[in-house]
Amino acid sequence: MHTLLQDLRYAARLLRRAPAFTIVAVATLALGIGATTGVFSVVDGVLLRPLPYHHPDQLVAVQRATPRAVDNAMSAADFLDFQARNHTLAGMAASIEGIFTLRVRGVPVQVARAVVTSNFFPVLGVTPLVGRVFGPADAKAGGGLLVLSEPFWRQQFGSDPRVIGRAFQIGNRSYTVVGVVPASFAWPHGAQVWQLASRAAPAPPVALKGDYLTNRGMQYLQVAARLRSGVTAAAATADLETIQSHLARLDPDNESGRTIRLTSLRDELVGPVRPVLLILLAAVTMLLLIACVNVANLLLARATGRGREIGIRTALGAGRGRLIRQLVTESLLLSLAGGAAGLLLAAWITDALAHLAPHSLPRLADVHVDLRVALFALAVSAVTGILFGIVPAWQVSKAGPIETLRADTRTGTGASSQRTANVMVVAQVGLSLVLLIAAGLIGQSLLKLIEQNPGFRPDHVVSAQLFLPPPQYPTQAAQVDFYRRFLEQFAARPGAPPIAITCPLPLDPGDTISAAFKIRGRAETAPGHRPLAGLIIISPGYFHVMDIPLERGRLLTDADRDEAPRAILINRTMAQRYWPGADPLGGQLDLGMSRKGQPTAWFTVVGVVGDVRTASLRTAPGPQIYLTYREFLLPFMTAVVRSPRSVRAVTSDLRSALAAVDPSLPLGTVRTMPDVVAASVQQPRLRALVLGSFAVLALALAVIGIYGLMNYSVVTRTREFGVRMALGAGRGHIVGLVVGRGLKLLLVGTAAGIVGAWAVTRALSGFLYGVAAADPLTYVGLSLLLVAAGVLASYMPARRATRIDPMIALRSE
Amino acid sequence: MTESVQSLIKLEGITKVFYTDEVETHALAGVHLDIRKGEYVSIAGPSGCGKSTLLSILGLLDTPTDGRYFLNGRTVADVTASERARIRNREIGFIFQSFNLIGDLTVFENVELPLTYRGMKAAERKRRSEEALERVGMAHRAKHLPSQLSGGQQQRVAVARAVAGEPLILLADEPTGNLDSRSGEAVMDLLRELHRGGATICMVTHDPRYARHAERAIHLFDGRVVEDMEMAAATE
Repeated sequence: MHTLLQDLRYAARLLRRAPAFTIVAVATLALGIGATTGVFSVVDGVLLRPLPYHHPDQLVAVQRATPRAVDNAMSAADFLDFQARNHTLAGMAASIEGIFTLRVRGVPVQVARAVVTSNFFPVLGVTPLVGRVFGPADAKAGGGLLVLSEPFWRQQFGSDPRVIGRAFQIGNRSYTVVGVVPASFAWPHGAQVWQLASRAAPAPPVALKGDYLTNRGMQYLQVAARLRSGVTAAAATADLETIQSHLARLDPDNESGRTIRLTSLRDELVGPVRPVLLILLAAVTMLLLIACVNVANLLLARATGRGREIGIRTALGAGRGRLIRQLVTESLLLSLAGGAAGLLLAAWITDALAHLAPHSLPRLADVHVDLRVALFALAVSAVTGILFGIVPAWQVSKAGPIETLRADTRTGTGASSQRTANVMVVAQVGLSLVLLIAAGLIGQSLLKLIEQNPGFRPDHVVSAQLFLPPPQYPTQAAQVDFYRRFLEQFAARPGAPPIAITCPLPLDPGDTISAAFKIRGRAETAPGHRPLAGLIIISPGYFHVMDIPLERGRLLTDADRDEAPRAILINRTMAQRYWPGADPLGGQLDLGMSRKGQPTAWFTVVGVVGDVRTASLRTAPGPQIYLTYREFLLPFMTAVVRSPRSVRAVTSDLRSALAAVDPSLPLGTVRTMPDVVAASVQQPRLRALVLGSFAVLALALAVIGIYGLMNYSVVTRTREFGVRMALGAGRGHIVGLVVGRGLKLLLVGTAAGIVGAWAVTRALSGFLYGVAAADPLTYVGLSLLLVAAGVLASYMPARRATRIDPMIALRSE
Repeated sequence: MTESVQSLIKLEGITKVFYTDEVETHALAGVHLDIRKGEYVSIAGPSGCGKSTLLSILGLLDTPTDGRYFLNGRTVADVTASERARIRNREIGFIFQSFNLIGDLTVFENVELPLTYRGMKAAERKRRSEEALERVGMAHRAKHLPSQLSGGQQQRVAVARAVAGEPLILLADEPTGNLDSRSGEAVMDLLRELHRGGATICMVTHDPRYARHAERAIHLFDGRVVEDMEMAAATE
């Protein structure tokens, strides 16, 4: 122990005496360890930490798959059947997301809510932060209770515990706050308030005929369940399959063709972001390796200069193990210093990543630098310290005492050390090129995405969310009347710009609506096998505001009212897919929306419009059907206005129009369409930004590595260069010698990097858009960039070599 | 066998050949040598005669190409690297021409270093290091760095480091080579004093003034021992 302290003391003294070396090495390591720890803190918070619920491994999301897709929604009637008939679940809870308006200190605030069953919190096993959560005893309360999320409580009520017991009027009903749950609880993702369902299952977002508790037609509930202790997911799936078969016999139209799929709640929550986080972790690990190789090379060069000291220690009886221990202690001290600085950097990187991360990234509340992350940084520091310390230590300790004690202070393993240094530089160049190419491909994908025509013109369009609380607008007529009056009110202002309403808003990750359809005159398909089309609910001015071209027929107008023949528009893709080479105008569709007792309500295609990318810029448009808001009403819509005026002015006009129609309603989130488009590429942008930053750092480290090696080579070959110059070698010859050696290493490293990139970028194919994983232009371009930067780095020491005075060089020996 | 027990060092037909490219250089060509406990031997000869190579082999810093080497009665020609390190640490004390103190360690730490490698307890190391520094008159400079000392002082520290571990033999390679004559004499006095105290010393020198301090002089030429004579008056 005492000798270890001695080693540490000596190592600290050496580092203090070489401040330039220490600063460069610690900064390099801090970058590597800091970036790795920062990315790890996100991976840990999102992927690794167990969900903050009681026995999270028992929690599953109940989903049902059809031949077309996995549907994570369930009707109320299905939910109640599964809940009552299963034998394998300790509990089954349902929720539905939505928004409502809450008046806080007299100001209406739009709140993301989840209406949940009374057993929701007990099933998930959540402990409240303040107050209590709903329990089975509340089932008979008939709703009227709220639980707040911690961030909402903090933001709106300043963490005031006296909010418990306070009543809020929502529509015509009073709701009492009973508790607050911690920020780490986020199911469904994004919920700010949980509202107790008034009945055994939450009501659907739109009014259904008859009692919704017995309706199997509308699938809208998200269902989570807790497995009974000792029950496997497979056993529970089999149990639920039996119930599903029973339901299929009861209601083949709605239930046949469905199979049960249980997914762990954690996978359901974080599964979609796992690949991208793991790729970032792999990339940052590569960066850390590059940093390690860089510091290893620095240490090797430095240790080579300490040959005499090593020789003395050997002569005095230090065995190889003892020497390695001394040298590794030094590298460990360096890495711990780098780790400490890296931890500070990680705190900043974590904040930056959390800030840059799209809001859709789940469990962001769990992302922070804490003891667990600090321990990770410590472990990474220790491992890297050994990793980059062991190679130089092994190399230097190989030298015999005789060689090292010669008058020259360099160790006698010059050639061997050079070989090791060469291998490390080649590795560094190779790894850097892998990162560069990965970042290049991701960056190009982002550019292609940004250049992608969304099908509409986003500039000068402002969007604002509208929400009609069902208690205030319980009927379709009331809602239609509100939207009509709102649009008229806005348009009545002098010089008013064009306005429309829509749902969904293109490229907004909100709910999408789809409908199975049948074309009149075509053969009927089996239940559950009808083709699907996206439904877009609009007001007639929508195409004008969004600048979506009409390709055939006519647009919808205010004349297409309830009483008129039911008119719809379809997009180009739908026309080409279902009427190839034929005219779709006049074609009739059954969308499963019968009314007024008619067995089938046919919609007539009156026009074809251009394709619009609704889900994301990278998803090619599928078949789309446009209906007016009078045909298919939702309580939440988005107003869109095209105006050259400022966002503030347009928002003010929208607020005035809204207040004139219903002063109790708040205007929801206001965003410009360019912002919406930018937000839709937030995840690819983050990927490109993070990978790009890593690649730039890797390039810089590789260039520093090449520079360091060439510089060291020039220093150690001073006499040789002196002799060569004395014998008549010109400047070009000396530059050629140095740069030639650097170029050789660069070319070998580049070749290795290309092979590595070819293997590694396969894993990226899922994230690429408009560019192939083996895109030759990217490979060649970035290889040339790396080689050019490396040659430049070699040229600087080469120039210095040409300034050697042969007389001084020879005399110095 | 009896002979080798009495001898501290016994070399039998030691040769050392260096190979550079296709050239063979015979640094030592069948050296036979016997050094007994308590002897003070000087090795002299012209430059390139193999003095330093011989000392390196004696100090287990290098291995012979051929021949047998007995140290304190046992053969050491073929021992492992770690065993050689152990022997160097416990049984041999080195004094180099260029002092070879570690510049980043204090005088005390330099003296303590071989004892540290021995795994000796801190208190014992301290006692021995302080004693060694006292013996060479450098105790008052224990906390200084080598760069703060004169050449003569550095060599005295190197002597303290060599004797602190109480080795079987002290090997000195031109210990006065980098010193002025006054400092050189002081170091030689120190070695003589150590010899009087019972130390076995083997010193390489090409300076006949200092070779006379030894009680036995060995001359090398062209890798061979050409003269081995007792110098009775040397210790006077």
